[in-house]
Amino acid sequence: MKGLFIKDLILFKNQAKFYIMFAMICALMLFANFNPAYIIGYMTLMCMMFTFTTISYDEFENGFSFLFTLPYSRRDYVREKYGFGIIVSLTVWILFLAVVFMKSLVGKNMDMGEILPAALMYLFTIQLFCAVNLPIQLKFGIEKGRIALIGVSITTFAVVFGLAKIFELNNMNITAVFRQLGTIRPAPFFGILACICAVIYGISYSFSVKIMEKRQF
Amino acid sequence: MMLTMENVQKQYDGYRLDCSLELRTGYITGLVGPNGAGKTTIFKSALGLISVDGGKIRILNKEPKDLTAKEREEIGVVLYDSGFSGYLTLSDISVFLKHLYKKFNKEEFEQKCRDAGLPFHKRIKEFSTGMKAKLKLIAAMSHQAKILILDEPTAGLDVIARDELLDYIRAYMQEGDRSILISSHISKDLETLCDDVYLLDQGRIVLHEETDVLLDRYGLLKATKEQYEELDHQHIIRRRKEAYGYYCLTDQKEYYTRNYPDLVMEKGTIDEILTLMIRGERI
Repeated sequence: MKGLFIKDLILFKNQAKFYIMFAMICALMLFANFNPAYIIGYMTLMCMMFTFTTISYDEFENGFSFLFTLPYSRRDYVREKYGFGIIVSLTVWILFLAVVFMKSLVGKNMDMGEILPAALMYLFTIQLFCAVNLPIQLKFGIEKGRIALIGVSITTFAVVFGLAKIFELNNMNITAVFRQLGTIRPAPFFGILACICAVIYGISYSFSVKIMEKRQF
Repeated sequence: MMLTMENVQKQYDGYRLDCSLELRTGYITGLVGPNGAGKTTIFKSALGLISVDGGKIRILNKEPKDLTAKEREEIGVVLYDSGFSGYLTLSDISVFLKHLYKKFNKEEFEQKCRDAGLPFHKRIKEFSTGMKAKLKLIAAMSHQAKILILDEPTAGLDVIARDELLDYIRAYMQEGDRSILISSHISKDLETLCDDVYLLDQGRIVLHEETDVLLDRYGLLKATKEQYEELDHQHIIRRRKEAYGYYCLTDQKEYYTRNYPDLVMEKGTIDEILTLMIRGERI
């Protein structure tokens, strides 16, 4: 599995020029007083998305067949993709948070008390996106995966909309539920979010393992 | 035994594989057959890349799906239609392999790549067919694997490059108890390389023989209709009607040469034997 991780890091390094340029643009945006939490989130998302790119590189010219003759299991492959996505996104998030923190020390016009919760929200949203999208990419590949992701998004929207309607028909006030959520203090709130993320990652991982173990190459 | 396949079955739309084969320790075993005969399906089944509908496969005394990462290190693979990601360079692959295989010899791998004239900083997708083939084979042999599974390793290569690769393979067998399962559509390559050969057609093994036996004992005889009628048919495996009479395959060349000196007897090549086994009529 270490070898796979190294391979993906090499692929990431080979795209370094693009990401460095992008990081510089983000840094410029930061100094031009763009929303710092948004910049942290955007850069984190861009780098996390590289996990999906590595899958497309692995698939390139029927590469999966050869890749699965190498010394690791299909479960290891899945584990590495999840690990890579989480580690890369967390690293980039921490790096940019540190940059923003340093700027807040110098500039003194930024409130980390506001930026941190917003940046955390972006981080958790990105993790959820990663957890939902990885099994889709592994099942359908990058091209069909895009279509499948749109399908999943529409289904999610329909489910949420349907649930809201059910709440409304049963005279339950969903806005009040959200308002109630807002009253939870940040630490427990993000603790709950972290637990939800962990559970969703767990479910997503077991789906991905099943998908890869069934796939024929 | 390095690999055994017993009555392995795989059904596709309009195609069925049903075969048994063995790869013995110290042997180079060849698979020969026309396109679509099932060679790649056999390789993929043996490597656990596809599931099978029936039969047993044992590789290194285990089912392919039960092989641990450590055991997989003992297998080197070349697949005709698949390889390293085209987005990696040779330098990247060297680092990748170093972290995958405990017995990977980086210096030797890089030296062999240099000898083969492979560029280190060019992406694999920009390599020529020949360069890709060389890289695949050098990589498969870079970690002291006990088994090499080589699906068309010489495909797309010119004669000189093919000879070079065949020399690599021969040299690889000099050390220890190693085995190779190899397919090639150029059966001439296999005649000089393999200890035994399986001839495959439409998913079935039509003939399995030691290469020496195949080339020494098998013969192709040409007989006029009259000569054919007088002929003892017990050692004729296949026949094909021709304008002059019959073109026959026998596994007792010596018998017919001795007893029928007037007959034209040709030494069979694997290609000719395969063609007659497939196209010829069973007696």
